[in-house]
Amino acid sequence: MTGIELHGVEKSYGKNQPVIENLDLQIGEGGFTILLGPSGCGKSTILRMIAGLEKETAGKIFINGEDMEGVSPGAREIAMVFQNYALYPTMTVKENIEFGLKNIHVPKPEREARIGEAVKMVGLAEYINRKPQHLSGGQRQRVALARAIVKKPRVFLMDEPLSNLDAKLRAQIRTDLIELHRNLGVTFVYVTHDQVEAMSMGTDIVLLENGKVRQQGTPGSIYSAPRNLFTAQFIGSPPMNIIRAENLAPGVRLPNGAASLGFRPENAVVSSDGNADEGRASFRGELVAREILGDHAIYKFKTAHGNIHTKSMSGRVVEYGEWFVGVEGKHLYFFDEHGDAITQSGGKNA
Amino acid sequence: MRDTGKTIEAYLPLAMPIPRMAAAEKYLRRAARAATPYMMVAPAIWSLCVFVVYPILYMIWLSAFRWDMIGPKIYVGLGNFAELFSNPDFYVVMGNTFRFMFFSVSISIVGALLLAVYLKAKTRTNAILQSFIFTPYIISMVSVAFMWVWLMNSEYGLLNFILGKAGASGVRWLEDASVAMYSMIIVAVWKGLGYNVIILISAMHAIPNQLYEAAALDNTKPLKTFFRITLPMISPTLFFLTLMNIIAAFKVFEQVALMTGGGPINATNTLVFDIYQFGFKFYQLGYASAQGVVLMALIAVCTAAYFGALARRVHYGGEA
Repeated sequence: MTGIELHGVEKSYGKNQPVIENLDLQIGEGGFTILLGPSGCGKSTILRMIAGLEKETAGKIFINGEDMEGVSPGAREIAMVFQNYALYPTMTVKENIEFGLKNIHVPKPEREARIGEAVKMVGLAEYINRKPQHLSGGQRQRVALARAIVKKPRVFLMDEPLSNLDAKLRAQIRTDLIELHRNLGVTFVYVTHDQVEAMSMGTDIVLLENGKVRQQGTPGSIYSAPRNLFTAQFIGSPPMNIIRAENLAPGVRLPNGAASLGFRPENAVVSSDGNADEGRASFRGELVAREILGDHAIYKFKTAHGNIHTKSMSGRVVEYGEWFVGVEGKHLYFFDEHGDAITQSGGKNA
Repeated sequence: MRDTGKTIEAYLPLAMPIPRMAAAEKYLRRAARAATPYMMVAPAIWSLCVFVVYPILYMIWLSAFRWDMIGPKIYVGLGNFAELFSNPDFYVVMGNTFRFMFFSVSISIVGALLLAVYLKAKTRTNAILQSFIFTPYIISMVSVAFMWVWLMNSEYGLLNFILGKAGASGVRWLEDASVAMYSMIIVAVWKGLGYNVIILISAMHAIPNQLYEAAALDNTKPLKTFFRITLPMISPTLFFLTLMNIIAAFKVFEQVALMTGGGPINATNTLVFDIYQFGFKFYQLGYASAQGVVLMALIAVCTAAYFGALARRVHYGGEA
C-alpha cells in the first residue's frame, strides 16, 4: 500500500454538523494530486488531517501504508507549504530553511549541501541572509518551498500556495512547481479552488463538494467526461452551458431520463443559419455581450432556453445581433434529475 | 435669439470678475497656511511645557539653591549635590531603590512570562484565572498596602498564623530590617503581575498560529518553540513592558509611604520617598531637587541604555 489513503474519515468541530463525513480517498504515490473545490468544501481540512495538524474525528489515514494514528506532524515525513507562507519572521532565509534540519540533528555539512541545493532550485541564492519581511511575496513563497524541499519529505502538502501572488507570478510558479514535481518524483498534494491551477499542474484531480468527492481522475477525464452536473459546471471557463429539459422546445428528443442537456462553450459554433442535422443541437439567440481576449473571444447569447456562453478561438469577431449557436451531437452531455451524467449520446434541434 | 454682434469675450468680465489678490493678502494667506499645523498642536505643546518641561527646568534651577519654601533662596551652586553624594544615607537609599527595582521587575516579568504561557490557551478556566490574577492591579494601592500590612503583621497577621500552624516560627515581615525590603517586593510583584500577564498573553495571541503549525511540521520541541518562536515574536512587548516596569519601580512611593514609611532604620527608604521627606517634611527644597535631578538622570540613562543594548535585538518586523 503506497501513497496516501483515507478510510472512512470524518471531521466535525464541536457539536456542529460534520464538515467531512465518511470520506474514502486514495492518493497515488509520486503523483501531483489536486484537491479542488469551492470554499468551504473541506479540502484544506483534508490536507491538514493528512499533515496531522488536525485530528480526524473518526476513520484512518495511512501514508505509505503506515497508520498515522497518534503520529505527530513532525514525524510523518511530510512538508507543508502554507498560503501565508508561515515563515519565521525573526529568522533569516537560511535559518528558516535550516530550522527543521537542525531539529532532527542533520549534521552541518549535509545541512549546508541540502540548503545550497534547495536555494538553487528555487533561485534564492543571493537572498539567503535576508529576513522574510525584506522579500516580495513570490520570494517568500520560494523560501517556503525551499524549506519544504530540504526536508526531503515523502509527501509535499500545499495549501493554496499561490493565492496571495499576482497573476503573472502565479503562472510562473505554476510551471516551477510542475518542474519541481518532475525533479523530485515524490507525492504532491495540492489544495486549490482555482481550476486553472488544478488542470495545469495536476496529474490527478479530486473534485470535492461539501466534504464529498464528486469525481476523481486525470484532468483530461474530468474535463471530457464529467460524471455529474457539479463537475461539468466547476471545470471549464466559462463553465458548461446547461439547459433544463423543460426549457427546450416541445418535440425535442432527449435520451431516456435526461433532465438537462449540457455543452461546453468551446464546442459551440456560431452561425447565421440553424442547420439542424440529426444529432445536432441548435439554439437561436441574440448576442448580448462579447469579451475579446486576444487569442480567444467569449460571447454571451440570450436565448429562449436561457443564457448561453460560447468561446471562439477563430479570431473572427461576431457582430452583435441574432445568431444560431450550434453544437455537434458528440459534444452534448446529458444529466438525469439527480445531476448524474447519462452516458448515451444523441440530440435534436431545439 | 438675435445676434447682438458681441463676441463671448465681451460678456466675460461681467460674468466672472477675475479676483486680483493684493500682495499682502497673498502673503498672509500663505503664512496662515504654514501656521495651521502649529496651531493644531499648540494645546498639546502648551500643556507639555506647563506640566512637564517647566517643572523639570524649575527643579534643575532649584537644585542650585538652599530654600525652605518660606525664606529667601540662597545660591549654593553644586553644594546640594556635594552634600548629597557625601551623605551615607543617600547610598543606602539608592541601594534600596536598585534592589527593589531589580527583584520586583525580574520576578514580575519572568513570573508573568511563565504564567502567560500557562494561561494563554483560550479556556474558560484560564479566563477566570486571568481575571483573578489581574484583580490586584485594579485595587488602589492604599487598600493593597493596608491589606498586606495586616497580612504581614507579626503578632496577628494571617501569614504568621499559617506559618505557626505549619510549625514554623513567625517572620517579622515589615519590622525586621533584613526582611522588610523583600516583603515590599512581594507586595509589588503581587500587585503588578496581573497586568504583565494580560499584556503578554495578548502579545502571544497575536502570533499567527501557522508559525506554530510550521514549527510542529519542523519537529520543534516545545521548549525550542518557546525560545525560537514565541519569545522573539513577543520581544517588542516584553522589551517595552520591562522598561515600563523599571521606571515604575524607580518611582515607587505610595507603597513605601503607606506600609513602612521608609523604615525600619531606612531599610525600605527609596529615592522618591526620600525626595518627599526632604522636600515636604524637612523643607529642604534645594536638596530634594538635587535628588530629583539624580532620579531623572537615572531613568534617562536606563532608558537610553536599554534601547541601545536591546533595541537592535528586538524583532519589530511585520508578519512574514
